[in-house]
Amino acid sequence: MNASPQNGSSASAEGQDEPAGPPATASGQAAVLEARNLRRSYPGVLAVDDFSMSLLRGEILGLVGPNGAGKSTVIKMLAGAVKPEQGEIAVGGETVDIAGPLHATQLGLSFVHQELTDVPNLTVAENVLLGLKYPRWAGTLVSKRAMNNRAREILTTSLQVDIDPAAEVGRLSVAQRRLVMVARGLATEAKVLVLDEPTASLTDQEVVHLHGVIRRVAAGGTAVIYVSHRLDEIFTLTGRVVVMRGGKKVADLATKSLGRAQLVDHITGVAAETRQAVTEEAGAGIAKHHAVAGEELLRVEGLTRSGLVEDVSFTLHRGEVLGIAGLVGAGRTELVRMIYGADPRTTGEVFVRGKSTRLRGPRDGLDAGIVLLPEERRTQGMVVDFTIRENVTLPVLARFRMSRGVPIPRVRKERERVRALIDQLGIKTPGEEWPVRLLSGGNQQKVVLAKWIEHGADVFIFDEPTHGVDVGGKLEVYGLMSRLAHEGYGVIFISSEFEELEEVCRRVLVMREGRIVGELQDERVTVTNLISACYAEAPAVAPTATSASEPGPEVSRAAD
Amino acid sequence: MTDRVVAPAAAGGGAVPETTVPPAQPSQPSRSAMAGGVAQRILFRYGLVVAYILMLIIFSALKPHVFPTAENLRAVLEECAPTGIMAVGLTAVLIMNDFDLSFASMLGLGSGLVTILIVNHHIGWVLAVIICLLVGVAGGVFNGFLIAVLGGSSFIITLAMGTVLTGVEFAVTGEKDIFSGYSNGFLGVAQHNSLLGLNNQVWIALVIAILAWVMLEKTEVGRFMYAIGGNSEAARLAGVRVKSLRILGFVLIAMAAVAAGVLITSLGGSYTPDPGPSYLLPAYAAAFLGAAAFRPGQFNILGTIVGVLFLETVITGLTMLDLSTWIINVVQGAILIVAILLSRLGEKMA
Repeated sequence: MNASPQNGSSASAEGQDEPAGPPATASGQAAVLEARNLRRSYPGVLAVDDFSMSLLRGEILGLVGPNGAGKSTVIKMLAGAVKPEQGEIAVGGETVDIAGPLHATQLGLSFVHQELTDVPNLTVAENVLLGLKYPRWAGTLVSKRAMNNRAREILTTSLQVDIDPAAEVGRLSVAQRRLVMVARGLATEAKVLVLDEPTASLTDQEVVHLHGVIRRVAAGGTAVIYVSHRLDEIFTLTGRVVVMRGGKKVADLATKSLGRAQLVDHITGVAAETRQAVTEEAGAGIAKHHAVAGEELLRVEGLTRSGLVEDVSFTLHRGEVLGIAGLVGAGRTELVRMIYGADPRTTGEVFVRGKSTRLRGPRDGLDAGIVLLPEERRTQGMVVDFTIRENVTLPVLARFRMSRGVPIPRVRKERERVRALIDQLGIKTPGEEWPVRLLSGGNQQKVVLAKWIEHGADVFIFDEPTHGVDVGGKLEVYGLMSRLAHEGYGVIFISSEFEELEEVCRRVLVMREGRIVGELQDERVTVTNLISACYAEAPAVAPTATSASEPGPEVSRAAD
Repeated sequence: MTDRVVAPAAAGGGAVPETTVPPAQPSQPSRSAMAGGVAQRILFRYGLVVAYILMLIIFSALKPHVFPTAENLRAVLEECAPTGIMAVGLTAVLIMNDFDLSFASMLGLGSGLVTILIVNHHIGWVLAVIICLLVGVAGGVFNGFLIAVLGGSSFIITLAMGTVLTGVEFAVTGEKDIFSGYSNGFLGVAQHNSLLGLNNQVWIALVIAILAWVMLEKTEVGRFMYAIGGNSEAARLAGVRVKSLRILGFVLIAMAAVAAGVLITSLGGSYTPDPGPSYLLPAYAAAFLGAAAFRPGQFNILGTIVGVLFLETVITGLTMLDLSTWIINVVQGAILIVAILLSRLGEKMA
């Protein structure tokens, strides 16, 4: 639509806080894909705000940013899965309104999503060519042989992997399935190939192999958007990096012009600001007073859930806020859900105050004195159509009986108690009979908190409790965790925002690929150290890197 | 409707200095907005009742000599009783987002079994009824186990179980009509008139409905059932025994079906093979109709009861107007569609 789709240098001028590096590829070239001022919000969260970028033919662009930065939302908008509220997307210089995944494919956009979106009960060939026209006999029945040949061609020539096209996808390994997904992305002969963490479960060798494939695809003229949390990949593979944070693009630079430390700075940039703000606001409110001196409260031994959590052992003491850091998919949520009893374990034991627990269901976790604030507030933490009162009293309804033995709760008693909790936690609501569905994200989180405070426990597990909560609300959550620890309870705090772990925790376990790969204590709990431990950068991270990350993952394995 | 207290960009960059101020002033949703919502909700809450009253007035005006009479009222209520009992049991299952398509066959099995026990085996009617109810419990537990514990789809499992139960019924009764041999005590169970000249089954249905209402609206079990329906994973993580309660739901509907089967047999003094199917749809229709009232978008006992009365009154009224069967069918179906759309609307507005 525009007079001239902009070239690379003007696109990188969008990067606000950095002198723009030279464009990654030949300038003056028309962008194959352009996003202009995209904006998309979800209730309570502005996921993407004024996001612009352009992509040149044959370019490999890295898209990075912390969890929740808005990368996935951008990709969903490109795929037509969600509609931008503002802004527009141009493909080959023409503004398009992407109606859905099929339309995106027709436009030449191809996606390999983070999750395995294959059809397990179909064959490799059927998956690779899914959504494309299957080759047919005389225009009617599908020709298996032609299809297998076509798929084999893509797998062997483009991908150079040896996977039987006739094999059922569900029987392949996760890594193989991922390669099949990539093959599907290639089969459409797309102009733009978007890969969202394609290496998540691949071994180093497979990663190197995949990188070779991607380079070849790009050399053939396809533009590639590559989303990854592994910074080393970004450096070895991409020509340009776009960094997102808080829904905004904060940097758009040639990879060559960047140092690793610089990139980490960009990724965590606002985090540092927030950290400062938090410290100023909170003052002495969130003191790290909870020493690791208290008696042992929770001991986890060799806890394993096949494929998700491998042989995790640690202890939690009274008066401690123990952080668990890691990237999405590191197994943190799976670990605590097992500890709570929400998911079955393969092997391993959990001891509360020295006593082994059964943990066959959440009920057992509750009985043992463990409560869990689940990661997914809306889908796991509450009944959205229930009122605040009904949500808060759900696990403790028997306490409000009219008389013992008559399982009829007295609503008036419930209301009084819940009103007190609303005041105590500062939940903003017209009243205790207000449906939680109509509350903001932060207030919903407080309702979930109120529920567990009312229930009481020895061990409080908070899984991403500040997700979607504003800064003021976050401070309250930190204060609450500190208070619980101060009162002698044990707190486990999972967060993807490392600055808040640095703020609140004296001891942090780092998980990667289902294992605990490190433990940081006291002054070593810093954002930089946490990031390097999580990303498992072997050499030369930041100058401040400590022994926790330097010698590589295995050496620093937590051993208690 | 709501004032969102959270700043839109949670970790928003430049806005940090402003947003760090803890929102001390409680910005509450305005009272007037609440009042508007309340008016709307009242409309949705009692829309079905209003429609029912309107319908009564219309039929009374059209057929003043036969419709608004005590005789007709009694006929409608007696006709409602078995459907009502099943619809009430069904409501508990539906609240938890489960389905039961086997209860019509359970009704048939109840009817057949009680007949055989009394007529062929000369067992006292009280014991016979108790045995039948226990069979119902067993059937419900079995359904519930397959669905809640083993994770089968309630739709398919109960569809299959319905076939099995009808098979068992045929095996028990030999698939023969039975018209005689019932003890007088048994026939009195439903036929006997008590208070207000209404026969017993109306009062039995009423008692069952009241018990179900107390259970679902007042007790812990009811709260838990609604929590499971609202979000079963959240309920499970809050320590609610989801599996047991879902099994309980299937037990309740099975017992209700057996009770209805016994009453139908007692009232008619006869057994015909596979009497259930004609009760399946009305029970569902009533429950879905009821979901448009009192607790809009949610199944509830009060709504179900009004739904049963509504449907039965429509049929009676249309029959009195001498309309053909096909019109009655079409109108009945149309009403159900409208009601379901209304309840969807109520769900969105509530």
